[in-house]
Amino acid sequence: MAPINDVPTNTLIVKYNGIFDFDEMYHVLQNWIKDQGFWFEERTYKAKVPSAAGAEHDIIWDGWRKVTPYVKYWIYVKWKLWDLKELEVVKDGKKKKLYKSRVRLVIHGKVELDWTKRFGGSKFAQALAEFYNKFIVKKNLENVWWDECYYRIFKFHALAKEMFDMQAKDNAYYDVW
Amino acid sequence: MAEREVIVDKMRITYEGLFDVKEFYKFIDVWFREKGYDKKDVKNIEKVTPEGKYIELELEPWKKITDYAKNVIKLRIFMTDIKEVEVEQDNKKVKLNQGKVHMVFDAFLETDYENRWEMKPTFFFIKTIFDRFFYKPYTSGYQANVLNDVNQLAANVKAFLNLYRYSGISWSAPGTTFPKQ
Repeated sequence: MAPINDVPTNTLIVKYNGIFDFDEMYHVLQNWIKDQGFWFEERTYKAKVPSAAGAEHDIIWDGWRKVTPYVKYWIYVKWKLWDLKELEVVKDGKKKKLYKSRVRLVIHGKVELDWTKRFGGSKFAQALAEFYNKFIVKKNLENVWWDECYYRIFKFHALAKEMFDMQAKDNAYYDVW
Repeated sequence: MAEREVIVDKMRITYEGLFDVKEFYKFIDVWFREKGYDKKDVKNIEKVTPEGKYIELELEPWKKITDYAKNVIKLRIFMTDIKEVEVEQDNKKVKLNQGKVHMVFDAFLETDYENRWEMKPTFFFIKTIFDRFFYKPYTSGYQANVLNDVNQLAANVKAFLNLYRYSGISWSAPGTTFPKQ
């Protein structure tokens, strides 16, 4: 049996329908991923031809960070925007460009083990890797690596809710990792 | 695959009136943190409708009790027609929300979540025998633990929404023996 090399985190979904500052949100979330020490890749940006209802955008982000020579954290963000329309709003006497849209944000991550492929390709090496992951580093994996990866992704999720100014934007776990 | 035993099945609380949505969510979040649960926000939906805001939350926090058993509480919150209102309280104007809240509580006891005892039929058989005959006191203790947590959460939610007049044990397990006739 092949050893478990990828340990996925829970998938978090945010859906919002209303007015928000898409430009600011796009940059703030992107900068957050970079500030957390992740390598950032915008894998896909699909902007479809706008219709009368509005524009449709598909964005996929990947981020990865080397934690140890054995462990890597990954974060995946998928944006889907429908009926995206520009609005001009006067706020504090100044004109501001905002957007009205239906948004779905899907955020998940994973902990990648043995990203340097130290436990080669042979069956014996794979069996050793399985033993190592299941018994030697199991506690570290559950209590440190997975936990840290998951709660960091949760902070990203909380930031996204804050950018939408959602009612349920609070995060009681803000100080975890 | 882990075995999930249903302890609480769709317990509901419905409320209509004044409350603060942000404080309500924060209160539930802090309660789970204090109880030692790990957070899981499965869904977080917010829409603006002509009648007011529609908010749907699905939380599924979990707490590992041992390396064999885990408490899982599934909480679905549906808030409809949420509007912002200004209310005078102690001669001060306070911003609150007016709307309907419908909460559905489910609680599970998940056993063998590491899938150690399902790999072979022999292991599964041994696990079932042990669970039914030898580990029953421990399992019933874990079940009581989850039930207690859900009852406490429900009581706290009712107190928050000022439904304290109707508080008490919201859900209790049925007795194992029939009453004498």
